[in-house]
Amino acid sequence: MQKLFFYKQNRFQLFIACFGCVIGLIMLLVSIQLYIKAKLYNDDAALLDENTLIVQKQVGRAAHLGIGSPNFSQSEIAELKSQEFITTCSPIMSNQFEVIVEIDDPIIPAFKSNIFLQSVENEFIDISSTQFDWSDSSDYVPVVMPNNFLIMLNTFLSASAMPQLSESLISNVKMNLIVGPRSNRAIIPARIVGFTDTFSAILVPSTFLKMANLKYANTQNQFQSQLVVKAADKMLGLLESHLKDKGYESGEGQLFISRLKSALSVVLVLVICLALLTLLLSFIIMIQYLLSLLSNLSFEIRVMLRLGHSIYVLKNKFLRFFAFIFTIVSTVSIISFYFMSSAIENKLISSGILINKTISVWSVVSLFVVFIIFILSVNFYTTRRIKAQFYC
Amino acid sequence: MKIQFKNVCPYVFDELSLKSDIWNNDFTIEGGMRYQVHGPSGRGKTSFLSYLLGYRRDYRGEVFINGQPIFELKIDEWVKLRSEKITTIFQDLQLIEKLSVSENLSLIPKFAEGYDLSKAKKMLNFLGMEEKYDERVETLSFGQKQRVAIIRSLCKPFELLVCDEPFSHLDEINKAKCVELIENRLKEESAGIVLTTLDGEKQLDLKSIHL
Repeated sequence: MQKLFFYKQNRFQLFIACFGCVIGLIMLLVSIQLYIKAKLYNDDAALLDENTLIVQKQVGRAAHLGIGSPNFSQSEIAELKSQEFITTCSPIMSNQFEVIVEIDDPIIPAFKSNIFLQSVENEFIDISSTQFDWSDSSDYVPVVMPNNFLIMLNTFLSASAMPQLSESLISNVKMNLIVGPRSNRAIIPARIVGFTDTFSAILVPSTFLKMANLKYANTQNQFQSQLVVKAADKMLGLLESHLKDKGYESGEGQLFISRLKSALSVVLVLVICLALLTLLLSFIIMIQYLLSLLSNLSFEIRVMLRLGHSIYVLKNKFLRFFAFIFTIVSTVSIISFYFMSSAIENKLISSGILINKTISVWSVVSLFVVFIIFILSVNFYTTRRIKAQFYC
Repeated sequence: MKIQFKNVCPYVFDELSLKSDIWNNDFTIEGGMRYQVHGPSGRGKTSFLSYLLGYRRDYRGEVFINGQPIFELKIDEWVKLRSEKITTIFQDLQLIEKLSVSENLSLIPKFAEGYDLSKAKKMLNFLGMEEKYDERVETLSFGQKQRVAIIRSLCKPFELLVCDEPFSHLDEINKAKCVELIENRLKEESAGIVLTTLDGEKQLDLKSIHL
């Protein structure tokens, strides 16, 4: 029966379809692999996370002369929130009293420094809200430390001939926040619960900062000189030009990273689209090949059905053949993908982008999904064509 | 096996107001019985067999197989009928030209599953075709092809043999041999036969049905 069904096939067309499938699959697997790697790269500073910017008003001559407020008004915040390219816009609350951080732990030499505290909505911090919460009855204030602060501390420790601290070690160091003016000063225990690259001030829960501003600065007026803004996916350009029009600014470094993230995201999505398109085209050629094979064999199929063969048995002959073909295609693709992604990752690592060299499970899943779609399509078209021959 | 035709008439004969033993009439094929359907060319002999075998549905009236309307038969039931109950010698033979005689014989489902070909080989010997066993069908004469088609239809179990002008290209000697072969197989299987021929042809001991 194998001979009967496959003596009429056009092997060149089959080869072209298989070649296209291999190219499309390699592109798909590699691009998904890179996309996932980019997503997971350096957990905290994920390359493809939503673009978060800290925005403030540009400082001009007028500010020196006391004309124009550096603070954002409620209407200005509302105007930003209404823009389609902004998913979230939230003011950053700052301390309005003196704050000194004091490290009070025998493993580190005494260290004191004036610092700034800020508070943002929890969604901008990658820490569970139960960990980053404060109430009057809390034993300590949870703080999120800028990575730069840890670098500064380690520089200080090196200079003191002390061993440097890792993130996990410093989380256990005892520290205090000394808050308020000399006349009304308090020492409050604090504990580091996380780190951030996005913010340059020490972050504390908003409940603590509201209480402290009221108690130690005796004010309920919140200065809102900075906003934290998230750009909608692939709309960073629109946000940038809007900020420029309004006379707002964001850190250049932050903008550069954001631009890089956007560009990388766009490129990888384009490559995935291109891979899917290539795969679709080769898929169409493969299905065309199957349909022309079935058309050429309509007489043979009719004879077999008239002799008493079941549709199921005949269909399975084609299904097995195409499953075999696609297994070869998949094997060639996955081997090529392995070597190609290894080469790309080696290049990235040698360029200073440290990523782990494991095969992404999503690449394998995508291959499996493509395989299932292909087999289901072959099954559908074959059954339909053979069934059409049954009553004639 | 019992097959009934009730007031069946092909759509193409609608305007002719045709009435025969089968068209626009009640006609029953009883199990184990022998029928010869004859009539001039163009009176629907092949159509009659196509309706009986479920290949075509371009008619009005009803056909029943073992009391069940033919339209209600499921695909699996048809597969069982075609593979185990009814066997057919097609007018156009339905052989695959590019395959050899043995490969064509192996297309029968029982053989396709690895059934022994020795029975078919004996029949080939009986009809003087043993040397053609491995030859491609396309190299044979029409008469030789016809004998291969007859053997293919006889080397499987059946309750009804349906033949559409099976001896049209055979000489008298080969026709006689084929008739003998068919007779033997009908007896072995206790099966019936429906055979269509042009007017004037008389083979086997058959009940005459006129179209």
